[in-house]
Parts: sequence; structure tokens; C-alpha cells
Amino acid sequence: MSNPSTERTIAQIALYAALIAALGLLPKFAIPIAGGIPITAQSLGVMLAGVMLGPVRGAIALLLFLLVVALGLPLLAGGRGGIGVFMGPSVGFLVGFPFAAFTCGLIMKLLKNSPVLPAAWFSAAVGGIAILYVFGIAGMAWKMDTTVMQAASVMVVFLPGDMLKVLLAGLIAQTVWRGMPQALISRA
Amino acid sequence: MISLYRPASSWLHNHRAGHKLLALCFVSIFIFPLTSLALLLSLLMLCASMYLSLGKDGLAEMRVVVPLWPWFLMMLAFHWYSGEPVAGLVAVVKMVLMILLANLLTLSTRQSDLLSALQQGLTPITWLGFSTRPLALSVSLMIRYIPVLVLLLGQHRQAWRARGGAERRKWLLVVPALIGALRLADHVGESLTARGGVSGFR
Repeated sequence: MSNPSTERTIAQIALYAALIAALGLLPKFAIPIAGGIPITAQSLGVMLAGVMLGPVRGAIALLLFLLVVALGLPLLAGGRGGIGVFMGPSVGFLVGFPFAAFTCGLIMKLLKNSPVLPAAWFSAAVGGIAILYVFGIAGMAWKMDTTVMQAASVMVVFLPGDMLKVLLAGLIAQTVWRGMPQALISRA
Repeated sequence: MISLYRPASSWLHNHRAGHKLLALCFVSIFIFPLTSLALLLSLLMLCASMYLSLGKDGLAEMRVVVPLWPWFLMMLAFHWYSGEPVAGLVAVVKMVLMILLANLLTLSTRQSDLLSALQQGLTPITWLGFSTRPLALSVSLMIRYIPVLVLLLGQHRQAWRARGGAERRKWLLVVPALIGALRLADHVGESLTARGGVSGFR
């Protein structure tokens, strides 16, 4: 897959964008350690898109996902969609999605020579948690008109769930890489 | 595919998608700096009357903001804690207003109309030699993929069950399903190329 055609690239990007949507349709599951706060699998898709597709394609996949949400499809977790979601408190996370995927892909690319599992864990943690939280917290502080510290305190409850998703993203990337190495485009 | 569009005939449905989009942009820019609670509340009333004018159960469409109540509660609590309860109310009312206005566009405009408005808005890039066709193709491909992915996962699950796999470990199927989906994407890409690619047959 050294020189994939435009069509193949489009097919892959659309697939990951659809995967993020499909993960959002999964029922929410509550994890006990987070006090039963329902978490969704959607940001797992963001991490996977970056880790698997690499920085540029990963970010484009997320932009495509956001565009289709804005067009009015209820694809965000909980069945939300339409332009209204960009006016709500979680706008920072939405804007952060492409940046998070870009970061995941970039780190994955930089760690090209290290084993897949730790590299994917590290990329997913930095992109899918650190970068995404920076955008998300900034968006909350702005939209809710609160201080950054207040907004950040909200995120504490989501942290265990997101760490679980980082673990999953790494394991999935590793297993897919074993079964279909060329699918890890960030390493091609 | 499910959509938030609400088929009906109202004055709002008759406006062009691009115009509604532009209007939403301007109104949002106008509302954003407002801090007067009275003004925001009267704008909210105005917005509610727009919902009302959409015909019967138009007002019910305002329920989109209901699931956000924990956020609103949190905003009020944070502002209460900092000793500015009115600022919290202003922030909540402003957010409700913006979401409701944006939702008016979503429920009165077909996706296809919005997409063509967007393509029209992107006309300048075609002068630079770019095409908007890959964009339209990606959007339709993605929408088509979603039910296919759900189906794919369902097939893996049935096969897993037929082999006697434990129900609580079914999450293990994510990887084989993902590999299957990636194979499918490769086939789709090749088929697209075989059919003339993104630009179609010329």
C-alpha cells in the first residue's frame, strides 16, 4: 500500500468515519469505578482513526464525521446531531476530534520503529486524552462561562473510561496489525 | 437512514438551505456578545414562537435541549458557587437559544440540500482546480457504510453464537469485524477505480 489510489483512500476514510458513528450507536455502558457515569465508545473511534490511518487521513476522517453530523444525522453518542451540537457545551470535544486523531497518527508515525502495542497506547493516550481534553475543557470553560479549573474538574469522572478506551485502542491496533499489517497505514 | 430532518411544509422549509445557513451565522454572531438576561429571554420567546409557527407539534421539537439538563444544572451550580447566579442564568439561556436556533435549520432542511449548499459555497476552490466531488462521494459512502458496519458486526456475532461463544466476551469480535470492514473498504476502493474513479467516466 505504498501508493494507494485516491479511491482507496476515500473508501478508508469514509469507513473510519462510519466506524466512529457506529460506535456512537452502541448502547452506553456504565463503568463502576467511575461512579456509574455512562461512557460511550465514540472517542475510541477517534483514537483508532488516528492510530490506524495516520495523521492526515485520520484528521480528514474526523472532519468528514463532523460534517455529516452537521448535515443533520444524529450520529453523536446519545443520538445527537445537527448544527445545534456545535452550540452546546461539548463543542470543544467536537473541534478537538480532528486534532486528537492527528496527534494519535503523528505520534504513531514518529514511533514507527517501536512495537505496535506500546506505541499505540502512548499515541492514543496523548491524542485521545491529553489533546482532546485540552480542547474539550477550553470549550466547556468558554461555553459554560466558568473557569478552566471548574471545567477540568468535570472531566475527572470521564478519565477512567477514557483510560479503558486507550487500553482497548492499543489492543485492537496490535491485533489488527497481526492479522492485516497493511491496515496500519500509519506504519506503511 | 435516520435523520433529524422533519418533513413538513412551513415557511421555514421554503427558504433555501444556503440562506438559512448564512442567517444562522449572522444571528449567532449577533447573540454571542449579549449579556442582558431580559434581552436573551425575549429572544428565546421569539425563537419559541418560530417553533410554534412550524405547525402542530412544532413546539415539541424544542425538546432537543432537554437531555442537556445536567450541563445546565452544572453551569448554574458553578456560577452560584462563584457568587454570580445571574451570569449562570445568562449562560444557560444563551446556550439554549443558540441550540434551538441551530436546530430550526436542521429540522427544516434536507441533508442533500445542505450538502449542495455547501458544495455551492465551495465553488471558489473549483476555480483553483480542486473538485468538490470527492467530498460528496465521501459523505454518501460514509452514510452507506454505517448500516453495513452494523450488519457486519451482527453477522460476526451470529457466527460466534453458533460456535457456542460466550455472550459476555462478544466484544472480542470487534477486531475480526474491523478487519472484515477494512477488506470491504479495499474492495470498495478498487471498484470505484474500476468504475472511473472519483471523477467518474469522462
